Amino acid sequence: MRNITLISINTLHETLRQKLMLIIALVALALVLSSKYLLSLDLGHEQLRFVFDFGSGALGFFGSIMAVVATCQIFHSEIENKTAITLLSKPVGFAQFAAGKFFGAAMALALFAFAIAAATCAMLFITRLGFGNSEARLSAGLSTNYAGVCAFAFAQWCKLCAISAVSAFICSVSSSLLFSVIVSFMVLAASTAGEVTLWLGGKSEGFARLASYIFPDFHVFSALESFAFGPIDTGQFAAACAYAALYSFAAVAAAAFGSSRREF
Amino acid sequence: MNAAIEISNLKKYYKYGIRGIAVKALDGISMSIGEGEVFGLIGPNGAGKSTTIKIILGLLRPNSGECRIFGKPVSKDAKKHIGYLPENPYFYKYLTGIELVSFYAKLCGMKSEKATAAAEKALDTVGLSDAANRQVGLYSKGMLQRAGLAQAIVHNPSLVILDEPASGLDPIGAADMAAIVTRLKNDGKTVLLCSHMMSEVEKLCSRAAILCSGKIAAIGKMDKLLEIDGRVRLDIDGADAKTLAKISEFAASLGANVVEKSAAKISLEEFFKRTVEAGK
Repeated sequence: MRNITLISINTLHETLRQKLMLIIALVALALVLSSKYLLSLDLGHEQLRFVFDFGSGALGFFGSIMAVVATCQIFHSEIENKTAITLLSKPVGFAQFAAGKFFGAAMALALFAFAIAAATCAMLFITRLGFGNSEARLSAGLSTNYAGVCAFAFAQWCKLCAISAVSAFICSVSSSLLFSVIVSFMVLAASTAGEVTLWLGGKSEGFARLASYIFPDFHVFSALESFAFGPIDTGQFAAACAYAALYSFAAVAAAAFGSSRREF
Repeated sequence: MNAAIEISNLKKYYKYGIRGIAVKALDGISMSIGEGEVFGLIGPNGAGKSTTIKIILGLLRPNSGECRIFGKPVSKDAKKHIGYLPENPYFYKYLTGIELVSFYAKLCGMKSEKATAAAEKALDTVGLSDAANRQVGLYSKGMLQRAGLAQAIVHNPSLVILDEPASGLDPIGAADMAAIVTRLKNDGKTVLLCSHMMSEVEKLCSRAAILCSGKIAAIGKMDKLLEIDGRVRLDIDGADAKTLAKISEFAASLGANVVEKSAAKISLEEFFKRTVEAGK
């Protein structure tokens, strides 16, 4: 466990030094912080929901890109820069190596999710303050549940960890960064397609059910947006987090196996 | 003498392309390296030296054969006793020298404070104390090599594997490296030295193996390997041409032949060191 912690902290440092990651995070943050000033683009949407959607979208969209790119980059840079050779010449198992890399990426994603959640809460608060005397009309009866926003962000982080774990598995069996990134985005696309299908009323049976076991099932997380303006459904929240944890565990175990079969 | 490394009939093939065409890297090599021995592994490029080292470290799996470290199969546990300096070491550039070496010390199971103390000592041993707080990305090639050696010895391993340790070092740095290897030997450590610098191997190793096309072309004690049967070398001081001619005649009268005559020389390395020292 100690070696996993050491590798993950080192990986976190490495991820935070990647310029591409910083740019993605800053763009996402800028998008959330500008949401109040983009309200003029709103076409009859509730203002608070409009601002929240920016936070939710930034977390989901940019978070997914970060999860894939950061994980693939930290895995492959270790192999291509040959730092993995020195690392694995120490009493470090392949499973520890894979788990350390995954947890490092997960910590970086946690920082990102925290920053976006904090910015979203701040923008929701500022927007509400701006309502003044017209609050009843402008809020459209919505009351922000800040704890709900945080719970939603936490669940989204769990989802990002599942994406990162899948990328870690792909990296463990692939030999090029480009291949890993492309295949990871294909998995992401398949999962998003599954989520959209279910959202449009499609049924999860037969091949679709099988696919939902192989690819991360994002539909589990899509309903959690309601926490932002309503009560937190603890059952739904726990189920989503448990699903992400189990999925991540299985994918990281597969990544550990993939790494152990690899030759350095 | 117990064996630190025991290799028997090791074979390794690399597969390339979609059809999986196999290229032979090791073709059934067997050797044993005793505890406390400084053993040289030499050979031309592509002979299989790095493959052998990677198998010893568990980074590659052999197709057949066995490798044992201190009597145990290669495992995470066995690696606790190994220190490894890779050829052209690459490290995390954003860490300082002390952070880097203590990171590797911690990976070997050392507690935080002990790891920092051990890292300071290792950096001092390799002559990097002054640059301990500088980022590794700012190190020169020679400094990286020294940092590599520091991380290899930081956890006081019983077996040290050095892959081209003098690569990128100037002759003085190479001499320092040789002194460290000698110190490791005096401390009873086993050293496996893989190098293209023959003078380095000749000077430091008690035994050596020459790998060629994945096979052991020669193995044995250094003195025995380099000995020319029936020949003796004399270094004579103050002999002019006349004296040398007389010596040759005398040798011939005894039934011996003077095969080669040349002025005694020091090595270029020795000359360089003396010149640099004198210039300081």
